[in-house]
Formats: sequence, structure tokens, C-alpha cells
Amino acid sequence: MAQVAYQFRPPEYFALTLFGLAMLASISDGGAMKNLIGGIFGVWLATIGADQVTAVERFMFGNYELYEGLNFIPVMIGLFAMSELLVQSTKINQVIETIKMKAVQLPSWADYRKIRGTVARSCGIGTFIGILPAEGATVASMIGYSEAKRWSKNKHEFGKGAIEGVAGAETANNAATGGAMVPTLVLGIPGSATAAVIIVGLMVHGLRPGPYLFEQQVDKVYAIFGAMLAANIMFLVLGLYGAKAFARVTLVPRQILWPIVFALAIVGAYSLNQAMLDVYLVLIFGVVGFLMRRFGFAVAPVAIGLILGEMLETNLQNSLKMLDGKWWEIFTQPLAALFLILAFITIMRPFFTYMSSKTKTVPTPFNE
Amino acid sequence: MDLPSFAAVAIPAFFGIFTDPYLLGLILLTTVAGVIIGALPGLGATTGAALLLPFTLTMDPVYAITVLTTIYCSATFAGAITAILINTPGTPRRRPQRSTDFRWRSAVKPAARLGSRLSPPRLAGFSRSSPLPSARR
Repeated sequence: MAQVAYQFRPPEYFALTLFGLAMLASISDGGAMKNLIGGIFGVWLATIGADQVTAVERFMFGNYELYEGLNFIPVMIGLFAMSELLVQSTKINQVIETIKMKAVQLPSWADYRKIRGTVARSCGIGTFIGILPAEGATVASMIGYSEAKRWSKNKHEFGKGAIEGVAGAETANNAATGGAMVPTLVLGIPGSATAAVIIVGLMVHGLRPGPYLFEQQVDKVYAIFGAMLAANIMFLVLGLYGAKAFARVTLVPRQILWPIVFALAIVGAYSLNQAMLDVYLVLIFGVVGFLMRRFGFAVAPVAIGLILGEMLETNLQNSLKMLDGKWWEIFTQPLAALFLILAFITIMRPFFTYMSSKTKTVPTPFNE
Repeated sequence: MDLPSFAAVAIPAFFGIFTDPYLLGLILLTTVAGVIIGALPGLGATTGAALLLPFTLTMDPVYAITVLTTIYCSATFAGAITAILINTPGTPRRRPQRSTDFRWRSAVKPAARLGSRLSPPRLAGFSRSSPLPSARR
């Protein structure tokens, strides 16, 4: 592990970050362009504030509260929480029909035997999809579902409550959370939208995810693993005994739920630095996120771009200094060149598949 | 850092989670919160983690990370409750399965996560034994 960490100098980090950004294109074929636009927008947001090396002020418009750049937390709250609130507010008049449900029953032993293979398969699929940078639980559950269907003996039951379908999708979904933590902690590239938020949480505490984290903060990394295991055991118990109670939570009226979210978002943002700027950032990025969603963009690429943008810029500047301004020498570093080639392939892949198939694929928005 | 000294730090940190009563209580609390967040329509793991982020700032780093990862895991798990009961768009599943499927839900997923640790027969011991429901359409 230590040797790997020493291999990663600024050029390698730069290429790796670029690869992480390029992965945004692979989330779905149809939405590749929109995800990349979102990612680039995030990178641009990361340039706001003073340049870290030359201290040139950029996009600050004389506002010195922006000198250190955008505070990530209010941006995250705005993009994810506030925009969701605005999306929900468009559905406020929707009538929710409730259907009667029989008592919650747990699967029998025969059911477990039936899904054993599906669960094992989806576990692998989910972990693998989770490990891929920027691909989250949603993609994993879709692939888990279609694979379960492909392998199943009774395909006609799918879509009508086949237990394999549920197991396939949900196992993959859950396995992806563990997988997503791998690129997040090892490389510092968010494995999913939530992992992006977790990276921000780590950075606030001065923990910079990446190879050095394993070198210097081993105890924290293993505490995370322990916590994930403990959480999984706890919601196994909670899920088994409290499923009925939690099912009722879905009936909470929107008119009560979302005002609470609004208050939490604003109070949370203000409490960071007691600065009104953070509150304005929440509101601005709430509207930005809402508009993006209305026009079919996903907000997660913006968050990922914002996190990676800072890394990208710092590492590019450091490697230029290291290589005496000869940027082409980045390609002569073997590891960096490898990541750059991977990034190129990832970006070009949707075009190749489009050219070869000539059929338009249905876009699946990156949404968690 | 060589392997023995790596393990010397890693293993106590890993099991330290299970011996710290305050941390275990925190995990229990956030698991409940995370399941509720995940089950609420519209709120998910990402939104929940973003909302709770400011509240973790004053905590000890290990506790803060624990809270965030716990929310992530449990809200992702509970997202299935919404997906199946009220059919949130974006899930690959379709309408007719709602009520039938819910009963599978609760046990299937944790079983998967812990697949290697708890064998199916053991899990079955937890469940109320019921014959295969005929309600499956």
C-alpha cells in the first residue's frame, strides 16, 4: 500500500482525477453528454475563489467571502436537498392512493433457497459496479435486476412480484454501497453521489481521501469499515422486526415533511460559519439544481466535478511545476499515461457504441 | 508502513467500533434515522447525508464519518421500502408487485449483505415461518 502511495505524484493524480471525471460519461449512454456538461460545470465552480498557487482572484466579483472558494457543504445541501424540495413542490397536488396491504411477512426458508444464486450473483455485480468511479447504486440495481431476469427459469413472473427480481435488484443496490467506498477512500474519487457528500465530510475534518489516507490514517479507514459492518448488522435486525413500522413512514404528508427539510437545510448551512453567504449558496444551488433536473440533467455530476475540480487544478499546477512547464511530459509518466488513455477510452465509448448500433438508447438519468 | 504494523493499527480500530458503547449507540440512532430518511418519499441517502453534514462538523472525525457512512448504508437499504410501496420512478420495477413484494424486502437485502456471515437457514430462524403465499400473482 505504501509503495502504491509513493507512485502517486501530481501527474498521476492529475491523470487519475481526469479519469474520474471521464467516468461520468459512462454512467449511461444516452445521458453521457449531459453528465459531462454537469461535471465540467462542477469543475468550473471549483475555480471560484483565489488561485491556490498564484492567488489570482477568480469569479469573486469583489466579494471576499468567496476568497477561499465555494464552501462545499452549502453547495451540496443546495444541489441535493433544496433542489429535491423544489421538485417535490411541483408534485404537491398529486393525489396519493393508498392500497391495503396484508401484514408484513418475511420470506420463508424455501424462498431463501430460491434466491440463493441470485443473491450471490447480485452481490458480485453490485460490488463491481460500486467500485467503478461515479457509478452508484441505481445503475447497480438495474443491472442486478436484468441479470436476475436473464438467469431466471421463470421469466414471466418478472414485473409481477417475482422474488428473484427484488432480490437481484436490491442485493446489487446494497452491495454497491460497500463497493462505492473503495474508489472513494483509496483514490479520493467519489464512487457515487452519496460518496461525494461523504468525501466532503472527510475533507472538513482534514482527512484527504486517497492513497495517503491508508498510509497515515489507517485507524480512521478501518473505523469506517467497522462502522459499515455494524450498520449493516443493525439494519438487518431493524429490517426484520421493524419493517411494518418503517412502511408507515412513507405515508408522512409532503406538506409536513418538506418544510422540515427546508428548515434543516437553512439552519445547517447557517450554522457552518454563521455566514449568510452559505444560506444564499443553498438557495442559489437549490434553484440551479431544480432547473438542471427540469431539463434532464442530473445534479450528482456537478457535485463530483466540484470535488474533483479542486484536485484536478492543484495537481495540474503542481505537475507543471514539477515538469518545468512541459505539460507533454505528463504523457511520459507510465501510470499517468495509463489513466489518460483510460479516460480517453471512457469518454469515447458512448460515441463508439452509438456509431455501431445507430439506435438511440433510452437515457437513464443518474439519480440516487 | 509494513504489514504487521499496519495490522497493529487497523485491527484495533476495526474492532474498536464494536467495543465503544457511545459509538454503537450513535450507529443505532443513525441507522434508525437513516432508515426513516430512506423510507420517506423523495428523501434519499444523498439528500439525507447532505442535510446531516453540518451536524457532524463538531464531532470527533471517527464519529462524523461513522454517522455519514451509516446514513449512506441504511438509507440505501430503506430506499427500497419507498420504491416498492409507492413506486418511485427510476426503479426498474413495475406497478403490480407493490404489496406482494414488500414482505420479501426486509429480509432479503440484509441477508445479501451479510450473506457470508449468516447462512439462509439461520436467517429463516428469525422469520415467522409461513407457507409460500398464494397471493403472488
